[in-house]
Amino acid sequence: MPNSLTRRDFLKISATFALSPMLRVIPAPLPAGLSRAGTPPNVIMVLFDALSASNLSLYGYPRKTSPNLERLAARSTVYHNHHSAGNFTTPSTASLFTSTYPWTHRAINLSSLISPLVAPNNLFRLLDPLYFQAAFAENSFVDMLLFQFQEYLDLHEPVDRFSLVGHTFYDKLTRRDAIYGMKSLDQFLFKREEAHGSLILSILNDLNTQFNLQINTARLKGVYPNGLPRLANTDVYFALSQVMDGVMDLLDSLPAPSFTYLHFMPPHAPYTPALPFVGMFDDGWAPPPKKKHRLAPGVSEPRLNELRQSYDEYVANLDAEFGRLLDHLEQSGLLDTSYLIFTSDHGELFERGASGHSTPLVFEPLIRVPLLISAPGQRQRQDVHTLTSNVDILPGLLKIAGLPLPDWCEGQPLPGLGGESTPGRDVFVVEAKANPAYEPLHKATLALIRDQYKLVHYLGYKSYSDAYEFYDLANDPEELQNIYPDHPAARELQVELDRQLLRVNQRYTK
Amino acid sequence: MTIAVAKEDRLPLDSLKSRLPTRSEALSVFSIFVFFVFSWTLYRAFWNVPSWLEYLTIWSVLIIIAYVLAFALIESVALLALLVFYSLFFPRKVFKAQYALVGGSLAALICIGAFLLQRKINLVYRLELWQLLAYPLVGLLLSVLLVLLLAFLFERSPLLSRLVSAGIERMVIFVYIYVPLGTLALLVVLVRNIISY
Repeated sequence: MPNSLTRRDFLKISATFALSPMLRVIPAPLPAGLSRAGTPPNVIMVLFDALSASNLSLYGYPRKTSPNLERLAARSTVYHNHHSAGNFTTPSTASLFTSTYPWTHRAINLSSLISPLVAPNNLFRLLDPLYFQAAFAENSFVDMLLFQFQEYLDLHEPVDRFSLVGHTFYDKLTRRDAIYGMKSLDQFLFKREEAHGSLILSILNDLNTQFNLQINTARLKGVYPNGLPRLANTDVYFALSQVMDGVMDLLDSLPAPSFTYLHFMPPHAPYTPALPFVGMFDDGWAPPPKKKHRLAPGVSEPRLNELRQSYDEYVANLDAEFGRLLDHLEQSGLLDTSYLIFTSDHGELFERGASGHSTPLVFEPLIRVPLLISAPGQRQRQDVHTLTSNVDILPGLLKIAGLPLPDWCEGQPLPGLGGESTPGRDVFVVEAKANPAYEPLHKATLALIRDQYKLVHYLGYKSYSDAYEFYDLANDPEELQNIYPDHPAARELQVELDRQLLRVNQRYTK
Repeated sequence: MTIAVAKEDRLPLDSLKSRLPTRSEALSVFSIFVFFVFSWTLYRAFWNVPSWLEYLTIWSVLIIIAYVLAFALIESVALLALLVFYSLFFPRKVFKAQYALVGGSLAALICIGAFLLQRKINLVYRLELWQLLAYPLVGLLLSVLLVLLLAFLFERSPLLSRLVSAGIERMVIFVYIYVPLGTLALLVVLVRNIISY
């Protein structure tokens, strides 16, 4: 914290006192999370977009994609059964920020915002009294969510802060009204890859960006032979090494105690690894093919394997860059004074005729994400096999900070961070991008995972309406056998999932 | 002596000034840009409204439309400024003599070209470096030829001049519809960016 009390600090403290009876989250006089010096440890949350646990050697993947994560794992709590609440960024990140499932926070569409009813209940508001809070997200949809919490952020770096080519308009022109600036300027008037809202200036902007891109692509051909990495849905290009350097400088500059949220774009498509990683998995390996799913577009098996290889190489690339960050944290001593949380928002799929994550499917590669938490000074590895969800991260952070758990949280503290394993606990996954945000869910994929079982309900799809799939993840981790018709546990899970659907739909039924 | 030098200095400036459009000529050209830019932007916006309404309130959609209209106004003014600047490079006889006709026609053709390109905007993302250098130069060259051709045609064909002139005059109505909307929207945007949080 700064030595002198600024006007902003004064306002924050005043607001905290004024709101404390309402919020019920202000810690007791000596919260459990405080260190001997009386301040909580720093928290650094590192999130890589679209990083599937299924493709990490840390979790048993045959390709050596994550040696540096394995290095971190040696001094961390490693969660083996951690699930995202959604299969794409907006709902899953909103769940992480609010500890609520997508059917509650309603950020269910690609560029949705968190419902005004839920938005005040967020991670940054709860941690605000204790931490200097900094955020940097390379994903513009996440950045938009962060702008919903702008009042709690002491430092909010722009999406294009460490980029090479291109820019976002809202950060330059309408930062004080960023959400609407982004929706109108970046996501409409100058929107990439479809007819723009602006007739002529957008074309001039495209030509200028392309020109700069071509110059930089030629300049960095030796580093990125497949093209420069791009922030999805934007015309912003970056070099991951440069972004990582910027983030290291950022972390060094923060006062303690700080909470830092870092959301990196890789390995999100387009998969553009740097040169040492291009071709590193040209090994001819491919997993056994799986039958095409009815809701998959039918991408051919050779193409899926090609995409998988590029993705794996990009994962290895980000792992190496993360290794540099890890070295830096070790050398600067930050790792000994900070919790380091490594996770992702959702996974990626290369099977059953589907690739990427723009899909109604919720198979494990899409929703099982890595979670590693390294406590300050931790030297031993701890493995947690209990079922967890990314709605549990906020309660886990509250445990770290020694703050009480508010009653609106739908998650529970993570085992290994003061939480306990709860057998029979229900974890939900909601994919509802085709559904209007504030209407009853009528077209969605809903999943309920309980112990080793997973029930999936495909709701309202034309070719696959009201269909159920049921898998025994312990005996069939590849989800090959749909045992919905035969298994007695399927009925129990179905009753619960239907009950939840009825409950969440009731609020929006006129 | 002093006066003579001042006169000499003023000469190039006077020459430029003499190429500038009058207010009514500028209004004619502006009306063409306003018509195309606002119509396109509103068409695209209303095409998007149903999807925006899926996850935004009507109030939020109206704010986005305010941004969009404000930008359309700025874009129209910027395009007029660019065209006026461009016209300074032509001899008076070619451009200035029939400013509204040549400028208005050129504006319309540029907008129609942009409209066609917007339909295939993905082509821009596939351009090679040499294409990115060559195509704008070719476009510039074509526009010069177009101006010369238009000036020639309007001079030779009074009927064509009358027809185009009548069309441009009727376009001015859009200035009176769209510009107040754009101005109001610009005020909304300015206020939001001044008073927000």
